[in-house]
Amino acid sequence: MKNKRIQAKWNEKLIMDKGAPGRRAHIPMQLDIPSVEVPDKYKRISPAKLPEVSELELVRHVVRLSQMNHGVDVGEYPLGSCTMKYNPKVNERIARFEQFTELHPDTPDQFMQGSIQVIYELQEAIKKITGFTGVTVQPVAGAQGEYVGMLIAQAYHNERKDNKRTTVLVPDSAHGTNPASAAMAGYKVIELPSTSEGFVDLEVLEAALDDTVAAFMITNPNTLGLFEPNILKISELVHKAGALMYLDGANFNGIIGMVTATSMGFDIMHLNLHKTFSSPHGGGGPGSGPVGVVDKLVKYLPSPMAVYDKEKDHYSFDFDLPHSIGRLHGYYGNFAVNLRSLAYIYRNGGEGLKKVCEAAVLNANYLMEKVREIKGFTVPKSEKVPRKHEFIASPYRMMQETGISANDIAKAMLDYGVHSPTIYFPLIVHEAMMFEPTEGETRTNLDHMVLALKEISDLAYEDPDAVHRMPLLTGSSRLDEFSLAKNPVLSKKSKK
Amino acid sequence: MTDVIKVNDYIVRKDRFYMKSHEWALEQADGTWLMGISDYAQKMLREISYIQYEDVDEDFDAGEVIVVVEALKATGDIYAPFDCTLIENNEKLDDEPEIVAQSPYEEGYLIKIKPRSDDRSKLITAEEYAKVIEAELDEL
Amino acid sequence: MSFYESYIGTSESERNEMLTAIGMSDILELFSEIPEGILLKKPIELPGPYSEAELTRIFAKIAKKNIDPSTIVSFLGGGVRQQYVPAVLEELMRRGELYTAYTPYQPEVSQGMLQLLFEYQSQVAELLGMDIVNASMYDWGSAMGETIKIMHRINKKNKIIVALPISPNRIEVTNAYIKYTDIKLEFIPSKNGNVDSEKLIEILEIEAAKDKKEREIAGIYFEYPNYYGTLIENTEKICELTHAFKGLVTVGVDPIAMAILKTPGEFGADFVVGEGQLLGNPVNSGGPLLGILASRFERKWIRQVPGRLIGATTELESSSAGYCITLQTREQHIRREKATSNICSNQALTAVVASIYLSALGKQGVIELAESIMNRAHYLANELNKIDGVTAPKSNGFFFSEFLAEFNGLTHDKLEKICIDKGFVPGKAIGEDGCTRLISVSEPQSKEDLDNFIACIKEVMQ
Repeated sequence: MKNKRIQAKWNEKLIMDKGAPGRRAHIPMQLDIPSVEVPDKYKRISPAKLPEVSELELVRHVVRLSQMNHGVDVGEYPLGSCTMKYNPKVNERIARFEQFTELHPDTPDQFMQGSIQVIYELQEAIKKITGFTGVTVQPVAGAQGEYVGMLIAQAYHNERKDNKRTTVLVPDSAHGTNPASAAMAGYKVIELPSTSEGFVDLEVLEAALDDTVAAFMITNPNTLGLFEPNILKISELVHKAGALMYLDGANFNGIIGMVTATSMGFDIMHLNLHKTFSSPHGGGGPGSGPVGVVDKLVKYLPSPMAVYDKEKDHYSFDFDLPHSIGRLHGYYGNFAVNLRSLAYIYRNGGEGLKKVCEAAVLNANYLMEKVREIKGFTVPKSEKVPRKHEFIASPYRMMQETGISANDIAKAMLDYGVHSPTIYFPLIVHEAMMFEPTEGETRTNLDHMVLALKEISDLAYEDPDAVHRMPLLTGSSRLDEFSLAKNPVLSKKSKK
Repeated sequence: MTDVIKVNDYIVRKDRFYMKSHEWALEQADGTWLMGISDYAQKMLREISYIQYEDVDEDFDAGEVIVVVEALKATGDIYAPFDCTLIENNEKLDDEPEIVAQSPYEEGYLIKIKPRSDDRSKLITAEEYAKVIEAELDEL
Repeated sequence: MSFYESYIGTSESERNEMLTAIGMSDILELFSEIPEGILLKKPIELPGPYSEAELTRIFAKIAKKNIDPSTIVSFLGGGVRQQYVPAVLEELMRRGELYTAYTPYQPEVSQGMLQLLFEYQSQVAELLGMDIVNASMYDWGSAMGETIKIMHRINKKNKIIVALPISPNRIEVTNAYIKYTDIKLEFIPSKNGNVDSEKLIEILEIEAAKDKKEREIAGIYFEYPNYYGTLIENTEKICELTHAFKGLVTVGVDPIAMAILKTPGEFGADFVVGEGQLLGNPVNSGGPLLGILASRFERKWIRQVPGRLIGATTELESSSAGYCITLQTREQHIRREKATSNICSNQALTAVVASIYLSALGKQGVIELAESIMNRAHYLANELNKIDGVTAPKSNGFFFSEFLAEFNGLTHDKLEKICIDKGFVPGKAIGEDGCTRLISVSEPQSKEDLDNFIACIKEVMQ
């Protein structure tokens, strides 16, 4: 018990089930001006049944719920491919500056020089970090960035009248968003099997490449945490076939400051600012998914782009982009997310970003060596090769010997105050558990994770049923997900 | 008792045809066919929670998705075995999708179809299908 | 200086020890598979590293290049607008347990986020008169694009009727979303600053009269209030006619207006989209926003809804309530290229803001807020209309919080320049010729702000 941690369990009712008629929290300002009646034909028939709670009731409700939520601020969060790194508090402070938060995006240029400067400087910083000559920070999530990348690929090939290119290749270890984004952009997706060591199979790739391939989308380091040693050869093959190289930047924390995307031969990439660049995940979003491209693709980037006239010292938006794929967001993207990430980049500087990468990779490899020694675990594929920022451990042996699966271990870890790693992904490893500790964790924290896994392993071999019952110290125990999927209750209304 | 082949714990009934993608198809006396998923398929999907039906009377070409079986964390696309018209959805599964697991070959059938062509080349025998399962299990 | 060490968990000497522990002597050994030729030899040239104090100063200086919000009153709207953010909301949103969490894939330790999102779904459904709401899209435009795709998937027909006026940006986003599908948008031009509902009805009647096999329309989309602030006529009839040929109706809304206006649920719409920034999220130079996507409850349709859905269930071993992500098989991480959408990261935190905001306003407050905004808009339009040369509203039909105003004899440039010098942004330019502006009011504006603006326009028009 001494290594376990207890999460609050408040049995907090739904806010709609709290309160009483007439209780009030926020009361809007009323002006001394005439009241207008809504004409009958437009009048709402029955008022919305929203909660009636006092302000203190609301405060306790949200504070209690927050105590039933695990975040980076609460404990270890080694969720692979998600880069749950610390969200520096100074970024939050900067993001609260009123000149940014109260600014309407249609404000004339001369009154939003600061906001446009932020967008412009982030475009410039990402250019330097990735090596690309054009960068847009408009996409609001990694998946939207991927879609932008695919639209750019379409625009490029179409303008060249290279209309036969209807397929996009992805390795079988790809994130689910890759095939989904390519399909959304009208491409047929072909999955390529990886080698037994988890790398791109050059022979398979070469055989798949022909004049119908528009792009090869890969993640490097890949979802096993491995850097593609043949990356230059891969780029050469893809380019020879006339296709574009797309880099999914979800794993950029494993190489940032060490290598640029262009030097590896990529033509397009997206980054996830909520991963590598420290903006908070917010319980699912908002994120930001900037896209960088090589010279020949710059003209297709989304509209508008932030530009700077050095002579006049004036920032503005360029809407005059006749080849642009258009707009993916109502305004300029998730500005406040972008702002946080720019602050993070400047706080670290080039030197700091390199250190971030080194420390993240070291933490991952240190943790991997310790996990490898725990009974029932292996580190499959390319066993001797160092990982980058993340690694896959497989408790397949434990599963066969005790019946305890990756899911059971993930659930048991919660009782140690540690969020579970990503499980069952990538699909090419049995019982995959993908650990990404990030540079933010101390050695003490890494050792705590190892201790938790050791205790769970011991228990699995002694009393597997006890592991099946975990977690017991969390805001809720295991839930009945099946009944819910059968009869979905998606709002209070449909609950009746 | 219907004749069966057993591959590990998975039952393959010998009275009908199969597809490599784990559907079964059984011709009825009136020339229509019943379709469902094999015991192996329902066990691999686990916890089937919903069947996504298409509209009755619609035409499908061989290889088109004709119904989707939804489980908690996976889905299975069911393909038309030949050009056909969808003539019945097993609506009992709407409220009780568990029937697919309880009785994949009888009560838990998914749809009834009427052929629009004579090409049966996508169908394989029970023996051939048993080999498909064996090969898949080997890979795991 | 090594200011970046603040965010690194290990000390320099610990890192050396750890390196030794894994049998290495140089950190570069961990990067040995990166081809020698491309390994960066020196740090990327970027500003920084900076101390926290310096960094704050740098960004404070950049921020000051924006106009000081306390010195200007802005009448910009058109989809997003300035909010008064209640202190209770601002303080609660500082809870690190919430904003530093990932998507709640482990429900046992994420009940807080899950319950708040379920409360968001429930409260917004109630506000819109719909049954279900997803856990957020990126913004109104992406919600519109995705819903047009839903209607297409359900009905398998190519044509979507889109009734103007609609923000041009939103149309552009929608076009990007449907670019490589076979969906065709057919636009109905606006008439007198409102939706041309007669024309719309005519098109729907023709479609309904067609033989089943000849029909081409999957659904229709209009906004309520629309981009020019006005309300469309005959919503019930439009829904009825569309349903007569099994078409679907999607309505884009201002969610606050729904507190007092007949809801799309009440007049018979099937899907509702809208901008949730208006639910307590700061306007933030344009983002993050919050795409609302709501639907009536039809089991078949729910499978077509993109994005995350939070459901209510119980613990396996008890009857205690619990919440989790459900119907995940629609999503990209399971369905891959066959997913309903590629969306993964969404705008969850802005949905939590919306949820807490609606709870804080409550049943009475949300009505009072809607009324107070509507009253401001009508007061302002009335007073502006009294000024020689100003027509406000320059449209037919009842309006909620925004209206078109025409300033005779002026150009956009001239009006903007004079107003801005006096501390006002006079709404948004509509069209390049003449001087028609879209004027929007918001909660932070006082009567004095409105009166000063009216006085300013009087001066300008003389």
